[in-house]
Amino acid sequence: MKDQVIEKIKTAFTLEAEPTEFEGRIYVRIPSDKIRDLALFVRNELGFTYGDMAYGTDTKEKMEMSWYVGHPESNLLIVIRSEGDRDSPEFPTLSDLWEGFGWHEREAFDLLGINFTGHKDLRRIYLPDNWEGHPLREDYVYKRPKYYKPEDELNV
Amino acid sequence: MSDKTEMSLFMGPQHPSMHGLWSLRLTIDGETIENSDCQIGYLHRSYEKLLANRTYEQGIPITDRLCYVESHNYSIGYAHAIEGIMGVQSPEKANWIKIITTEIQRIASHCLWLAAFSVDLGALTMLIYPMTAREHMLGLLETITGARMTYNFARIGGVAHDLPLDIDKKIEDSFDQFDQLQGEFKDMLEEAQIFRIRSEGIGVLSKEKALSMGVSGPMLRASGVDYDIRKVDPYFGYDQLNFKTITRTEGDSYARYRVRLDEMEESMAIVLQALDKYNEMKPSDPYKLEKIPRRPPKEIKEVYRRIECARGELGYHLQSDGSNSPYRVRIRSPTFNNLQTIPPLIKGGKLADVPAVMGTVDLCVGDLDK
Repeated sequence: MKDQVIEKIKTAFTLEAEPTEFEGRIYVRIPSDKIRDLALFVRNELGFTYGDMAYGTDTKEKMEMSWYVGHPESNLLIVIRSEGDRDSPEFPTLSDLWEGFGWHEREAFDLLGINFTGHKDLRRIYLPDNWEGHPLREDYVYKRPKYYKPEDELNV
Repeated sequence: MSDKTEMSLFMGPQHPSMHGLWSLRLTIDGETIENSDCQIGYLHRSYEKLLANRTYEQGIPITDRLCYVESHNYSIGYAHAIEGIMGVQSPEKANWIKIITTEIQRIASHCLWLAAFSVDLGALTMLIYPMTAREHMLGLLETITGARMTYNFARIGGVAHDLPLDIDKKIEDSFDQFDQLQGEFKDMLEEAQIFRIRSEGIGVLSKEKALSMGVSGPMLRASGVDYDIRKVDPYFGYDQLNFKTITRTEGDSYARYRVRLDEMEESMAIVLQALDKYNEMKPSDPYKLEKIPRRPPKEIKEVYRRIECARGELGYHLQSDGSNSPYRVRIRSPTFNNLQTIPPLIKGGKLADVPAVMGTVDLCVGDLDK
């Protein structure tokens, strides 16, 4: 099934780099304007309906976002991966296709400052709304959080 | 003017049926839930950063603290991912030991869940029975690892030490006592009408929704999806054992309860099979690799490995930059995905059903907040 999936993706999309495979995870790199096309293809044509997880990585030069989607009957996971600008990263959301990504994208927004266009409920998930900075970024410097008074409007 | 009287209700950590530090903001109209919002992050320790700031082997003891209910599975999972990125494999004997301990830990975790869930539904006596049963399992783990809660038993390429000599008899005794207790609490719960009324047909999660939400573990299998990492993506040699995955099609709270209960029996069968396999090995066989590399090889850049823990799919993604500590660690925690189903499941239901739905998620906030 593995080779068929890679072949189908390769014929449907012109990719700059070949999809790679390791231990049943198929890594597909795609520019950010094609993410949704690939996601729809993977979900509707190939049957990868399981929304496994999503996360962002700060590679020091770029901001990288990966979505893992699974197939309910096989061990394969397709990793949809894209790079964005590091200072103001922005990706289209996939949380309407796999609802489980809703919170994962909120987490990437919270800890890395990645913006998702089309996300219905994009706000911080772990940290308070008025937290300064994004802790998982490589250049983040920890500052003692200031004291919040009870009357401050906090969504915690 | 409408008759609607909307009220906002804060079900915070001090509420008796909240399992740990998180809160649920509800908008209710009378007894009916209009809207809800989960507020998490009270226990956020930034584990992903903590692990990336440590060397590979230093990370194992702290992953024990990710989830206090089944800490063993979390460190075993992390060691499993490190083995992936180092390109090494545990000896066969270590794998059988790992299967034995993770399955015992799964039973202990399900017992604690059962105690908490029954109390949520008003069966107060049921707090004691599963806790007693869990005690037998913790006793076994104590015999094997020397600790009761944070075991620190996992190592890269094996386990800390071999099984004790009299383990066969101890496992047999504990399972006998466990069987008796399990029969007792099954009768107590399933013949109690209140329990059935409060859990049957409540919080029905459809198959499509469960898949799209990324729900895993007993919650997914109760919705009729036969997806178990032990079968789908076998590790440690689970493919050599003979066991079945428990699935139900109803998708309600009662189905999730039944799946977990039946899973405990299946886990005991797995332990006994793994013990037989272990006994076929020679005492002189290694339970740990002699030499473990400090740095991952250059050709392996990243790895994502997952195991089936009691709550569902626990995965670790490790990205290496060639140094002795990981560049990026991503923890795929099962409860993070499972808890997302709460707002849609309780919407339109009654306030009294919230504990009945929430209880079946099997929350562990340490794992949820990372």
